[in-house]
Amino acid sequence: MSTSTTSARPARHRSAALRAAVSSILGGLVSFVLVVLVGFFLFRMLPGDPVTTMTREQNLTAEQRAALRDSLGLNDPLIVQFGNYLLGVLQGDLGDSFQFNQPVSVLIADRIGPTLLLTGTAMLLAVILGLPIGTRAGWRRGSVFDKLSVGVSLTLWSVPTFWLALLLLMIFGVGVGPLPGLFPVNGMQSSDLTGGWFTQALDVGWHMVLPVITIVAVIYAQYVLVMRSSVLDEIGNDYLNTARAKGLRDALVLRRHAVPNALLPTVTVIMIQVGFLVTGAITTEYVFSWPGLGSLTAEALNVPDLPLLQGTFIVFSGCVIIANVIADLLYLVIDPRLRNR
Amino acid sequence: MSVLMVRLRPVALLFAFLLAAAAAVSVTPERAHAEDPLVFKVGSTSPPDSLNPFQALYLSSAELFRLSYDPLYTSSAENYTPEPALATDFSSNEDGTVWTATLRDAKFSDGEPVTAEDVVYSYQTNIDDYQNLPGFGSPFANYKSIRAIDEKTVEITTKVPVPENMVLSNEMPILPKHVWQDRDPIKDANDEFPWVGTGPYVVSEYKPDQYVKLVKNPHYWGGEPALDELHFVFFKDTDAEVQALIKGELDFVPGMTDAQAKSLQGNSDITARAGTSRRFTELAFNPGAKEDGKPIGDGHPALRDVKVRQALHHAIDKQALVDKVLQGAATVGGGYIPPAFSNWAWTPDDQTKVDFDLDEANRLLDEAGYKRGADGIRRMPDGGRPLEFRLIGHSEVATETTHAEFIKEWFAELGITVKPKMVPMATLGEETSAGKYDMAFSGWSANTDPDYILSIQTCANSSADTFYCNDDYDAMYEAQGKEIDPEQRKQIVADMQRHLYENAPIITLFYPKSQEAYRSDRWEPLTVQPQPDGISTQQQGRHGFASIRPKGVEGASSNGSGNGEGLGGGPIAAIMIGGVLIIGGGAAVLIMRRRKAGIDDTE
Repeated sequence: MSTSTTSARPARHRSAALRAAVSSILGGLVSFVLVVLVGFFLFRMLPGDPVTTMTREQNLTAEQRAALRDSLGLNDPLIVQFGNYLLGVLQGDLGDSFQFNQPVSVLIADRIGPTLLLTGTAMLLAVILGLPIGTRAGWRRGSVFDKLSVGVSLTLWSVPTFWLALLLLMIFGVGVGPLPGLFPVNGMQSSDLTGGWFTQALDVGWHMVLPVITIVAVIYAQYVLVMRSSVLDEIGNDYLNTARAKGLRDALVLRRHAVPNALLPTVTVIMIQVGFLVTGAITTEYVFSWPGLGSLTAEALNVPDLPLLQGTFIVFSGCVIIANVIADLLYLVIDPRLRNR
Repeated sequence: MSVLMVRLRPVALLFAFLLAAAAAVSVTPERAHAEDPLVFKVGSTSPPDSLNPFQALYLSSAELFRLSYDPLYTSSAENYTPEPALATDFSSNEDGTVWTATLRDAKFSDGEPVTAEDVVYSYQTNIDDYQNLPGFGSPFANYKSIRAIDEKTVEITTKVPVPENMVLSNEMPILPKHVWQDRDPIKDANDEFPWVGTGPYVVSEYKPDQYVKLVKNPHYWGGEPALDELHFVFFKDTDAEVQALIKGELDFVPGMTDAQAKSLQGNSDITARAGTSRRFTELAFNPGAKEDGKPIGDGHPALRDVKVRQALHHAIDKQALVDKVLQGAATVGGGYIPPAFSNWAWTPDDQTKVDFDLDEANRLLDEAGYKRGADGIRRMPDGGRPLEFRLIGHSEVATETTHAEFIKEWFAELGITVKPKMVPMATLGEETSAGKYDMAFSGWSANTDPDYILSIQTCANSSADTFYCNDDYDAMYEAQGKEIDPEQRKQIVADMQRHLYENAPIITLFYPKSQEAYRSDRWEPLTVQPQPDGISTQQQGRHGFASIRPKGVEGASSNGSGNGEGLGGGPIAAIMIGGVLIIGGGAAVLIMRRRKAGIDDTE
């Protein structure tokens, strides 16, 4: 593109860029270590005794309860439990879930696919929808389109997610008046479906429609607003006047000159959003009974299933941290000014 | 990339998306063909914890075991009394220490015959290591050994005499030895499908957080099951389940709230009913919490006085709680064990019965020396601490807030202040087990054998519920566990309930009914337990699910058409209006955007 440098950069600049990259990665690692440490103590503060919750109304003898408590490691002193946890995490072992009798890593692996599928699709659609709308709104600031699109996106952004989800579920899932229920109200797959992978994929897509619309509606406003304000920042710049003076059409000025520059801050927002999106989908997953990490976390909270909570916490936080690091690195790549600092 | 993004018009994209969605809808599986399997779908909000019967603790898991496997004896639909399952006969010697069970001619779902060896495997595993097998292990604490006498007969020896009802209500499923013998009962996930069992339907597929599928067992000893498949579909909340039932995506929804059940009234395709369950709801006092003999917590001292608790019993109008708060969806409380267990329930006679009588309550408190102060609030007999009780309840159970308000008003008439506090279940458990409460809402489900529910009020188990600890009660508990004469045991169990009623460490407020609904346009009613007004799920046994039959002959292939019946009320109207506004706004933007785009193109 027109912004890329053509001549070989001095070595000094390259090492500066490398330093920035390394410090960004190191920062991410430090954050991650803190997450691992905090994760252990954070959930020990939750009220409730896991063994009592799990065995309530179960006809168990005192010996059985004691054996269960023992096998879950709850009889060890806290410092020993912490040590075991750290040792495990270092070896990539997140422990066994209290309630599900399975390794936490297996439970998370089962659920992370559906979560990524849902949030990834929603994210992609939100970007595809949000950036052009934001660009157009900024370029035509004050127009009816600008006012309307900003108004609508802000409204949707401020709507509570569960409310919007329930609304969509009622109208398009169950049906209202003459409108039949078009989409399923829960889950990711129909339990009574027979057919090849193509039918299965369509079935998943059909189940995804409402939860994806919910997430897109709630998050696309951020892209609209960031893109709009970025375009506004560029709009008065001389290089745009130069471009116009060259005789370029307005649309071309926007596409070739304003948008590439305006995209920079947007990339950061998108990447940071990627991390939070996984966490933020909990509500949507819950309403639509989507079999993802959000649902798993909700199940873990009831007990509290400490190893499972620690595991999902590490995954959620890890996503945010990794997304931030990637945003930093990406910024180095797409903004030459940072490399040359 | 940027160029591409601007070119891809959002409108076009949205249309593309909707088109794709519509296409998906149009190719959505057709389910009404005659050759399609006959499926019954049950909504469930609680996924199983483990599929291994030796380890699983949750009811949702037990439901799967009850369908896929059989115990030797099960509980009758009539009134929970033991009746034959995989064994046709199960009896003991004179002193209740040697038990002989005769097996019926049955096959596992893989065609292998059920033999005494399968029973020996299932029982011996528990006898060897019951401490580490919480699933069904606890009754085996009393078992000494088991051996096969011949192909179809087993002999069990117990360490002490055990009452017949206790042995016959042992629910341990009989697992196929040829499948299980090399598995580790502690670690095994039991995730090889389909399961090999003797029940009418065996688990054939499990997708965590999505669904469990069971298929019919062609070798079922009780005759060919009516369904091809039985599905449990997992939801996060019952609201969505009810919507799915209305839409026809589900055939059965258990555990609804009263409001949800009410919203289904008038829907001609669906029958909603309130059934007598195994539960009771109690008001538990803190009668002086102790741990290892040392007082703990901060319970109000007045509640250690049995006279105060008896007076308070007079100040609770249980009928009003049932009628006004629960709109009749419960039975007024009496004895500790719910009347549904007609074999064990005890009902206070006219002399023992505590009636709602505020004057009598006041008289009892006066008599016990709790005089009113200048402010009208009663004080401890020494004139010190005023009678102010905290009442802790579950924030998840909306009706408990209302119950607390009623109790607060009644107790105010006695000169007693009540401070209700609703907290999440986990917090409630933590505070009550630390003895940091005065009064708490609690509740339990009773089982075919009363031993466990009675054990909750013993000294040994005191922290489980109310910290009640009484030597007389403990002596009776001990005695009923050894009494092999059924009539004698019944008498002791009745005496224990009378003891609890008169000493009032807890007050049984009511026996809540459980709300369930099914598609009566497609299915015959399910068998309920107890008869005639019980529930179809969470039974002791599997009578409900095993009885599923399509309505008529051709009813099997009818496919539910989504209709909006059952929707109504202000909140939904508000949601709809809000939705229409948002969608309308969106449409306006899109139209504007389109016109604008058209103008841009001509520039």
